[in-house]
Amino acid sequence: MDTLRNIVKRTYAGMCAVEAALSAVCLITTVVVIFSLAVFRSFDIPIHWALDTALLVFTWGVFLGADVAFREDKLVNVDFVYTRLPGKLQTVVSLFLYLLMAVFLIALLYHGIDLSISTKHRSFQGIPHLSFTWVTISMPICSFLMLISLSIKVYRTLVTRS
Amino acid sequence: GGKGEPKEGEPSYMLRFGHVQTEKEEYHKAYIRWAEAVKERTNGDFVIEVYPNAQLGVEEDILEQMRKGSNVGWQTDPARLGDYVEEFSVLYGAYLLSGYDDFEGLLGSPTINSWSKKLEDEFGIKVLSYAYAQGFRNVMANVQARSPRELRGVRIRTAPAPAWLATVNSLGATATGLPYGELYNGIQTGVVDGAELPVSAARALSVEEVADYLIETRHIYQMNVLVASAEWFNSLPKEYQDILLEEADKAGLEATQALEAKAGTDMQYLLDNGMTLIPWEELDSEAFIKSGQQSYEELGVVEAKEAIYKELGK
Amino acid sequence: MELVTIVFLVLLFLGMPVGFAVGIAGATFFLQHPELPLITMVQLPISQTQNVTLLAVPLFIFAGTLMNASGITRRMVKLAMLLAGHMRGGMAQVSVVLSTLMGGCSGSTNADAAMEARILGPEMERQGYPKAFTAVVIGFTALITSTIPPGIGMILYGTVGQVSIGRLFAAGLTSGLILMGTLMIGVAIMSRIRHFPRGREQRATIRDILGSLKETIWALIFPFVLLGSLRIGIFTPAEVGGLACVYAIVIGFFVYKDLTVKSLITTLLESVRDIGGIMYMIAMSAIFGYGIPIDKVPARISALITGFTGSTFLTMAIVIGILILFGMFMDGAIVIILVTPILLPLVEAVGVNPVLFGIITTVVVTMGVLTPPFGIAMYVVNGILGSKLEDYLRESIPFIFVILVTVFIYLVFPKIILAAPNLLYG
Ligand code: NA
Ligand code: NA
Repeated sequence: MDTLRNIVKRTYAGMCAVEAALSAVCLITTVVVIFSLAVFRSFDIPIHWALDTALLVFTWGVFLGADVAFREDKLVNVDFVYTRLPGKLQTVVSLFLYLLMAVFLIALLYHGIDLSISTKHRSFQGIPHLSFTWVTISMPICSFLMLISLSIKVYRTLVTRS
Repeated sequence: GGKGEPKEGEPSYMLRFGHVQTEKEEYHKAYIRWAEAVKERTNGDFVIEVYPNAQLGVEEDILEQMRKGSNVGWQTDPARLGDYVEEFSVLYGAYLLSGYDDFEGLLGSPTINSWSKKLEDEFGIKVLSYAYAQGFRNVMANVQARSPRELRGVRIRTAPAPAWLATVNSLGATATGLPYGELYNGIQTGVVDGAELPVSAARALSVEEVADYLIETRHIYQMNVLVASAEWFNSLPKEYQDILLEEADKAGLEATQALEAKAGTDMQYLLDNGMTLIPWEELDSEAFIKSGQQSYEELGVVEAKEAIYKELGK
Repeated sequence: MELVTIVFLVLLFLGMPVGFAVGIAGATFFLQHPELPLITMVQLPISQTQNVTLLAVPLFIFAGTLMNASGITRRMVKLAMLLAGHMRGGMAQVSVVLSTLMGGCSGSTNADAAMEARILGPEMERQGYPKAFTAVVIGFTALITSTIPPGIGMILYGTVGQVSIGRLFAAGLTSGLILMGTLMIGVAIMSRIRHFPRGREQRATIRDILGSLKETIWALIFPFVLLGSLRIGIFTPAEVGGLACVYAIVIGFFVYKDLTVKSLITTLLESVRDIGGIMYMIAMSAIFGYGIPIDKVPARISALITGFTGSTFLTMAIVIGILILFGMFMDGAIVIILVTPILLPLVEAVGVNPVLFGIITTVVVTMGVLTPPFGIAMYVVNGILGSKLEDYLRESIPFIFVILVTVFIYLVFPKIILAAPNLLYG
């Protein structure tokens, strides 16, 4: 059992590293593409697809990065009231918020898949044969990754309390 | 469906209609007239709320919402609808329409109606009206040109979309896609040598401050299309459907005629403020029209063009 | 929208991350309007990330982190010491000058306050400044950073309010310099009353200052390079953001030689997390904002205020009051995104210039990061310096006064703020 647990843990840690790395690659690609676009345009060479590519890559960078931030508790929040609550109530509040967040993420996942199916024909402007679904699918995937992060948080809250 | 809660005194049906223009523009006024007429003829039972300045969101998103049956409407253009039904983009091919009379001749066209039907059946988008035209687009540039040959190598700004680029390239120019908001700066700094626009838009953007020549190429007679959700539309009582369509066309024709009348004033304004006109009569129009035919091949809509020409008796 | 707002505040107070709170609250609008398709909830945040101007925000955040890693901060501290160290309350004045100098590299008050608390904090404690005063002076002077270009607040305001970002940047530069002036005067008076020491005995020599300028010039000219490239119109704000990143990398690698491939990767991973956190919040706020035009909120609020008063001055006082209140309770980025479309038409109607309003909005809303209950920069500086919240609050009163007086000056003499943008853009 222990080894299985270790394998799961290590696989998950690997996934997290890949996620952060992908997000970083997206950010640096955005910089490079936007920079080249500006430079080439100054030399009278317009690149029509550059901005769209930058935006496509950027959307992925944002949503992957958001899950990294969520996992590491780096999303901005306000704990002014929360930290002043008694310990038991804190657990109840946390679990209540986690429940709401889970429902919200599942809604985004479900409707995100629905949207991704219907945007299949919508062309990504300037780039022939590239569907807008490549952009829209980032949202359900991010929501799915966040659901995993969320379940770990729920697990930790329950374990530390009991 | 779009049925609101039928409360006492509340309308049974509502359409949220959005567009990207400001409240001051002729079209917005037309939409308000449309809304008022529909409300009056249905005794307040059917209400259209008009949202200017893209308040309802991004065009592409709204079209998706329509397909899901939402009670939203939008002012779009044939190039966008060409993403769904390819033939629509023919309406932005070079020199398709030679003026208001051609435009009027196309209202109720069986060919276009067959594309609308395809749009409705396959994509759930209902066309409400074609009656909203904006006049000719012309080239405003810092170089003189009277033929496609003289436009060679001249960088002309257009919307960064394949249909637009194809049409502007077919005039002999080098089409450069730039966002609308960068048009003025683009000409001023020489990123492009000019742009192509209807005169009303050129005046609104103060293009006369940065471009010297108004080359009256008349390459596109610009049409716009009002669309809404087919699912929502079909849930309306037949009587309301008719009222909605009739009043949309009525308000649209009024706006088109108002813009047509204003076009002279707008052009005079541009000339009074320093632009030099190279009128259509001075251009090698035959060469432009001939050259423009490439756009139809490029867009793959040669057959659609022939169908339209047949209807117009060209 | 009433229900949406209440749900948002409740979730926020319970400690839910702002991005989720604003998204879930916005979702209640869709539950109230069953005719709206739920895919809209997914479309709105995605379209927000597809906005070309907003692309400038993460690029400038990344550029700021890069500048820091490139070794510029250390050199700027040295320059600030040379410029202001000899004055009475020298270290406090150094903090004012340092924030102004760093303003051109960074767009974030929080980052600037955290950096200065770490670097200047220990030295100020050694020289006998009360901890809480140190926290306040470092925190409030970091406000200068938010208005000097590049500033995230300005970009957001310009995007949402459709105001030229070039003009906002030009006006922001002036407003940052004025803010530096009023804060220096404020610090000088406080130092005299409280007998704070000089940082050093003598003025620095011109030669020393020139030597330090030579080292820092690449970062100091940066805001002017930004303004210039926007003004000439060759580049869009997003492109300038991209250029800023490349500029910082080039300087870090080849001029200061402090940046290594390893530290570049660390910076990248750090930035990705920060950007993900901030942009998730900005993206999700689109769900919240959807109901605002549908429920005609701008018209209702403006009817409320204009029904109450027709005076420009009173209207502005109310508007600034609203901004302060929102700034105290929410993240600055969210306040600017949500409130600008509501308040801008209102203040334009009473004759206030949109560029000027952008400056005022940015300063006032950003002040919220320094006040309770939710001031992030406040918690950060107090945490690093170990000062007590009560002491911090007492010490902050004169600084809040200085900031409000400065905003009053902006409002009464709009020509000062608008001179630079008008000169550049006509
Ligand atoms: Na400071
Ligand atoms: Na700044």
